[in-house]
Amino acid sequence: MSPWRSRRRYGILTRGAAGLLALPALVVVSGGTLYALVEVIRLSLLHEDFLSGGVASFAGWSNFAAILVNGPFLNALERSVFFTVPSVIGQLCLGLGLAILTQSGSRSMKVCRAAIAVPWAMPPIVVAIVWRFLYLPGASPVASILSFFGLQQGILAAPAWALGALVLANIWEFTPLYFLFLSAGVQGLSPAVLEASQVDGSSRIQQIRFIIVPQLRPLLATLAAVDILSSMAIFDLIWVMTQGGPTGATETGAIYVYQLAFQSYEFGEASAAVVVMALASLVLAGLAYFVVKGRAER
Amino acid sequence: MRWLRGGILLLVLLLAWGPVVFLLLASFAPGTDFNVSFSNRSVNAYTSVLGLSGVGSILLLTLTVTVATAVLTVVIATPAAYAFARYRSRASTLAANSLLLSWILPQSLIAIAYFQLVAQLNLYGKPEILVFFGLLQTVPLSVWVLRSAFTNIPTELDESAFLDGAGMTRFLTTILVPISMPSIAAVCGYSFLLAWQMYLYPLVFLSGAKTQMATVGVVNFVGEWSTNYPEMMAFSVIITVPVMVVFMLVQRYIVTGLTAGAVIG
Repeated sequence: MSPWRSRRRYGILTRGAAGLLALPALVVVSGGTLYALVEVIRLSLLHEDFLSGGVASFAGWSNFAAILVNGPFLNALERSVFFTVPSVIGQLCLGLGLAILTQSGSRSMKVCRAAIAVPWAMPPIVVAIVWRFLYLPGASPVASILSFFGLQQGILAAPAWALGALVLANIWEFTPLYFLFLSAGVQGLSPAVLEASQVDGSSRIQQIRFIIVPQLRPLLATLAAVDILSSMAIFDLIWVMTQGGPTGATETGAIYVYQLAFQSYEFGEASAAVVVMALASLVLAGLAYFVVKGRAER
Repeated sequence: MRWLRGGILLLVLLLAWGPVVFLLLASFAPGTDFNVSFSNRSVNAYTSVLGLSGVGSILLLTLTVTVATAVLTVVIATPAAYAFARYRSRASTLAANSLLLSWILPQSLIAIAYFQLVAQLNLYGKPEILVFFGLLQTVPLSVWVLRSAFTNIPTELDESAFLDGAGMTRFLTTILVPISMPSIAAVCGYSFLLAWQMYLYPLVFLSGAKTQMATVGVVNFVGEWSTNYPEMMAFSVIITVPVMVVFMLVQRYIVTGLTAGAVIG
């Protein structure tokens, strides 16, 4: 029987054929992720002596109590938020501003858009190495400017400033990506509406505020949520630039979890911590989504 | 107004490309000290890095894992996206949404969850496992991008192919994929990028292996060769060039493809 013919059609495919076609992706990705989710929750409820191969015993909520009661994990989570919020605001505002600035369809603007986007392809690890050296005292113009402000031993060695320095590197790294999305969003706006508002005598500022931004809100909301989820989980950039130092000043949730799991092999506590971190990220992302999108419905 | 915009854009381009130029200059420094200037540059660091034993196999391994991930992404995502585009029901929407779950969870959660299983299955230290973790990252968005592309193709195409007696495999490989080449290219390029840049997974699952992925390799370099900065920078340039080239080739498609996916998502 042909995969296309059926009595119950929801489209052109039969249910069986559609299921078969989607099966590999569903098994590998949905199945693989669901397994991870169940497993990490199971681990978070166990006392496990992983290295010696000892038998795991049920721990109840004690792993959660251990990470939530004493300070380090919550402090790390707080640092994740302090890293994420300015990063996301910076990336989306800069991305949107540049997308509006390079909106015109002229050839030079096309080249400009491509030129702004390309640095995004630099692997995060290389970004981390480059920025480590940009911040190295005496190595670059950036470091010279910073030492002028009294950071002679390097900004990454100053506990009060190191997280901010990472935020800056992170904004540099991911602004091009969000610029790409927002630029495509701006290009997709109806030119007729913009022209009509011009005829009606609205200024460019009014146009941006009352026409462009409101129409982009759904896209902005999605991007804000995605950006928050990925920024909360960022490991590579921070690990390579500071390893969580100096004196734990840049030890975010992701760094804390990594050390707990793969350096101390405390899989129970690490699982509990990563579950809490994922939940916190989801709440933050959901909040941002509705705040950014909500106003458009009025 | 015009010159203001020009000025801002010039500044932005300077900021965007400054670190890239900084990296390039440092990689062409003669000797082993860290220095950036436009004069007295040499390619010493490049020839010595490429001459180091191990660097060749690192690059080969990285390329293999990356290409395998990109190819498998297309192989898995294309039929799934086609199914979701042509069969619409509550169950298929749920199934498509379930793919996004892996996108929401932090990578460290997945690494922790799989640590034990990977060891039990004797896959620890084997690069094959990285392809699996790569797919978890690449497939969700790929399916969404391809689905929105396939939805725009009129169903008459499928029907006429069916009337002419084409089977499903034949239809997918000889008709659907060729006419959706821009989206396929976007998915391929995006997967290539993500797989090439993987860091946490190789750090955790390939630690102690004879050959590492390039991202972990270059960071180990920082530790082992900390006295030879130009070599480290040259290595960084070498692992940046392939992804930048791929990105430039497919940038146009990535923009349209990803945006279609993002707007619908």
